[in-house]
Amino acid sequence: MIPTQRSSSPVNRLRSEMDELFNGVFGNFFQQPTRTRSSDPALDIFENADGYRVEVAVPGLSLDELDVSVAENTMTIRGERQGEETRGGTYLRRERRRTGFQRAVMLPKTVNPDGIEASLENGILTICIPRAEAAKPRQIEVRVTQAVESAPVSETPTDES
Amino acid sequence: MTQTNPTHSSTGVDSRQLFRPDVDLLDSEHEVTIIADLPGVTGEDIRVDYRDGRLSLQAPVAERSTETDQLRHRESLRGDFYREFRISDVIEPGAIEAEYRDGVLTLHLPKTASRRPRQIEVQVSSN
Repeated sequence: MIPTQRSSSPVNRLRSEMDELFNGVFGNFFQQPTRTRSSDPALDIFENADGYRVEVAVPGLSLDELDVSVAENTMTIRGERQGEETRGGTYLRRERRRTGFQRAVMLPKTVNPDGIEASLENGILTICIPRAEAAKPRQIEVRVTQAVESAPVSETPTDES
Repeated sequence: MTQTNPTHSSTGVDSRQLFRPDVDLLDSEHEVTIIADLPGVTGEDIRVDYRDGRLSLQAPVAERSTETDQLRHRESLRGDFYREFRISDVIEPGAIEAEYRDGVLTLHLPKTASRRPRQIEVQVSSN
């Protein structure tokens, strides 16, 4: 059977129900952050088993010049150059950002804000946001009760049997 | 010093997307300085070439996501930073120096001694 409308396909319907479940009940996805100014540094968000990783391009800034703070469910990243770069000469062209910046990211409810760690390498600020213990993905063990023996089916079968 | 359009370069750049990095150009007495923002680049991957009065810099943005990462939001560029500069004969090509730190490449292009502004000492004869 070929569905005439995408929305009517059972898979899509299921997917949309799943999205509603995730967004509505758990609220565990990042809201898309907004880049209000084109001069704002680029920001990426990745998700993995440990939690989320936010990366911000901050060339030329040191860790002292960066600040990451969390209030309520919003993480704010600020950067400000301490003291103007003093270089002799005349600027023929000046394109690099000179002003400070601020980016805000709404955190999902499923993270542990106390475990946030930041590091800086090659002008990329990396902020690791761990998942709250209760929200970590885990395999739910399914026990199958049989007449002779019971074994968790979640284990990989071995040749020993 | 003028710039040339990256898309018309013939330096054998592959098909990866090219992006112009933000730069500051500074002209001082002894050198021209090029400061380029290259966030996410590994220092060893930066290529600076000088040929026939053209200075080119190319730097691939290192891929930071792993197989287990799921992308949730992306604003950063994927590809290579690339930019060319036409260098006048004020510069001593053999003396160009480059350093990379905190995502910023600084190129020092010393001026040839004969082109530096200098004060000519006036010999005063007192007789």
